[in-house]
Order: sequence, then structure tokens, then C-alpha cells
Amino acid sequence: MTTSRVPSKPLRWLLFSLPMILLLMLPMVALITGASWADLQAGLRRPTFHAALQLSLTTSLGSLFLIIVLGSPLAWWLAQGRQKGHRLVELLVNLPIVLPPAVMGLALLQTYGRQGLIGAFGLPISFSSWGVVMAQVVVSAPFYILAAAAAFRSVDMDLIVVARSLGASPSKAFLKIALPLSLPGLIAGAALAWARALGEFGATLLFAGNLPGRTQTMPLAIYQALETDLRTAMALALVLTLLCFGMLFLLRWTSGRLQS
Amino acid sequence: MKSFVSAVVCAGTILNACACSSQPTDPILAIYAASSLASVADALTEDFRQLEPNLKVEFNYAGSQTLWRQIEHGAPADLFLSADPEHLTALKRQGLARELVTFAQNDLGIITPKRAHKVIQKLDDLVDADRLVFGTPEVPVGRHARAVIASQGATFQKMVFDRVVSWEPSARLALSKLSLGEADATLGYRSDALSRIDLDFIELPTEALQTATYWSGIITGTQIPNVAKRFQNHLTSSKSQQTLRRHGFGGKP
Repeated sequence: MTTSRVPSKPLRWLLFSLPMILLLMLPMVALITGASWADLQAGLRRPTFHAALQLSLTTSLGSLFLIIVLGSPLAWWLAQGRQKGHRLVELLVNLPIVLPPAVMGLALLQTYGRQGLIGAFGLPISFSSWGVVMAQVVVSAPFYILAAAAAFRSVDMDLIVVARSLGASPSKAFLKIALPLSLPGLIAGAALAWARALGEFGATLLFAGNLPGRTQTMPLAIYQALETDLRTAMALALVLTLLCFGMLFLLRWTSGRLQS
Repeated sequence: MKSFVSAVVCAGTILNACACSSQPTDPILAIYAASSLASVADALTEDFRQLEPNLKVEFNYAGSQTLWRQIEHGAPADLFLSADPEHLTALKRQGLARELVTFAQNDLGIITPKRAHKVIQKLDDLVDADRLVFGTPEVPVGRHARAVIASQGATFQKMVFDRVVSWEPSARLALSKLSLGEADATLGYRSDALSRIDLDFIELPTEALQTATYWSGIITGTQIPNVAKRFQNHLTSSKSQQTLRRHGFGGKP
């Protein structure tokens, strides 16, 4: 599938890429070199660490599940048409990416909070683990939906038409043709959304609050540790970074295997 | 590449030139202030600018512990107004702050939304609340709140903490959650409650009362120590003390 491209003067392009690479990588280097092995161990021993890690993993994976289940149909629909309606919805789906997450958290409170549009009628999910998931879903779903829509668009529609004319049901045509062809793009989008959910801070703090064991995810635990013990905070951040890196690497690898 | 470098150098020169020419004429006093001072800072500055009309004052608000970190890492502050003595003392030990002076106090009390879900009128009512929000133990307001609750015994503390749905990283964020109707009460500063019309303040009994003391300190790295000193003196002047009282603070101890 991969077409080998012949870059013109690769070394020169690497040279031009260097500022961006440094810009992105230097803080990571500082993070890694700034924390010693002893700091890391101290960070791992922090009582809130395990609870936060566990909560972060369960909520972010739960969010990812919801994002895929609820986001895929929307992405498919977006990929189908180019009418005004489609474009308007796509624009609206983009909004959470632009808005500051804290604003999203406030909007969530005004929707599902105790006095919110929907929350006022009972079942307020603010300040609960479900609230954490809700915050993560609204903030990170756009990353999956946009990537998935792009992946679906790249599928040759003629193939679907042919499959349908040969008697395949719409769902079978989707599952047997569209899905396998767009899978690498879907995985890339899912990875991005998952990483964004794992790092979610602002919306979670506003909407779900900061309660160890229930709503205090890794980013919130790191923020709180920043105020007492910088080294522990850096160690926690390092763990989060490694975790994210490992997961993204794994997904890239799977996606690469699927492609070849 | 060459033109890029020269552009950077050029920009640097221009920036330098601006900084040099503006500093002697109208200095900018950078004050790093505990966020609970935000409600009174404008009034205090207004008083000061009547004495020194050319002076520009810029405030950077955050929790005292965050400001302490920023200054520790070389933030260009001239004056630090902290909601407790600890952070300034730590900076002084590190040689980063000097001339510590206390200038105000702030009583802790129970703060409730006017449109209350659960009616809370005294400390004992806290155990009946559906949802409480408290400051984290790292922020001064949270530490004082813990002391208030702890003074009522371990059983009471456990019952109250069981009602806490969120430990907030700033006093003001906790109040916002009250305003939104998401929580029934918090323990917070009188001045903060006074600055919001939708919140009520309930005094604590004397045996449980905690009071924050505000301290000012001059940051050693300041380029304008004299201006910083004058503002520091201004804070303890009778006019400023009146302004502070009007905004719910207690005067200097």
C-alpha cells in the first residue's frame, strides 16, 4: 500500500525540520533528565498515584469505547455527503477542539450539573467518575470523528456499489469493505482521541472535580503534586508520558501490520 | 537562514530599545498577588496612583503556592503578596525575597449559595450537606479549612470529608462551583464571599475560627526596589487599611 516517494534533497528537509523537532522534543528531554530514579520511585509510592493511574486508564479506555461506538456512525455519515448540512455538522464537531477545555467543563456543568438543562431533572453526573468520562468524551471525540471521516472518505465508493449490486447488505458492505480499508485511519484517530482523553485536565477539573480515587485522574494528581512536591509531580508526569508513548507506539505498530 | 538570524537580532534590538527607553520614565510594577486579593487590588492601586500617577501596576494572580513556584523559577516579580507567611519565608530563606511585612487578615467562614439546595447555617450543618467543595491542603484556604474542621474532632472531620466531592486547587474555583449551584457550601474567606452577590457568609464560632494573614515581600531581583518599597508601605497606610476593611479584610494584625 505504501508508495515510496522520492524526496528531493532529504538532508536539507531534515535541516528545515530540525527547529520543529527541537521545539517538540526539548521539553520531553528536560522532563526525562529532570527526574532521577529516586524521584521516580518516590512518585510511584505516592498514595494517590495508583488510584489516579487506575482511574485514568479505566476512564480513558471507557471514553474511547464510547467515542468509537457513538462517533463512527457520525463519521460515516459525514463521509457520505458534501451537502451544507454535512459541512455545518462537521464544523460544529470541530468546536470542542478550539474551545478551552475549562469552558467545555463549564458548559457540561450547565448541561448535566445539578441545576443544568438536563441535570436538573435528576441523575446529575457532575462530580462522579461518569463525569470524568463525559468530559473526556466531549473533548477528545472530535479527534476521532474527523480522522475517521477522512479515512471513510478515502474508501472508493465504487467498491461499495459493486458489493451492493452483488447482493451484499449495506451493513455487510460496510463491515467487509469500508471498515478494513479505512482501519489504519480509524486506529490513528482512535489513538489520538485516547491520548487526548488521557491528558484531559480542564474540563475534568470543572465538571468532575478533584477527588482522589473517584475523579482525580493522572493530570489532576500531577497538578496537585506540583504545588507541594515538584519532583514527585515530574515523576508522575514521566510515567504518564511513557504510558502514552508505549500505547501510541503499540497502536502504530498494529496499524502498520494491518497496512502491509 | 542568514536573513532569519538578522531578523531575530533586529527584533531583539527593537525590544531592548523599548525596554531601555520606557523604564526610567514610567516603570511597571509587577505584583504577584494571592488570588483572594483580586477583589481589592484595583482599589488599592487606584489609591496608590493618586500618589504616583505615572506608575503602571500589573498584577499576576494565582494561588500563593503557584506564585511561589513561579518566583522560585525566576519570574520577573517586583513585589509578592502572599496569603500566608510560609511561602514568603521560604523565598527569603532562598535569598529571593526580603523585607517581609504583614498588611491584612482574612477570616474564614462558611460560604453558601443564596439559592441553596440544602440550608446550611452553622458548622454542624456541614455533615448534612449533599456536596461540599474544599480547597486542597496545598492552598492556604484549604489548609485553614482543614484546621477549622479538625478543631471539631476526628469523627466530625471524617463525616464532613465524606461529603466533599472535590478538592479545588483555588479558593475562587470553589466559589464558582457554589455560584453554579453544584455544591452546598465551602469554607472560604470573608472577602471572597463579599465580592460575590450570590453568596452568603456565615461567621465561625471563636473556638473554631481560623484567620489568614497576608504578607508582602520585595523580590530581590527587582529593578525598581524603591517603587516596590513605596507600594509595600502604601499597603499599611491608613487609607489602604480602610480600603481593605471595606472589602471584608481585617486590617494588619
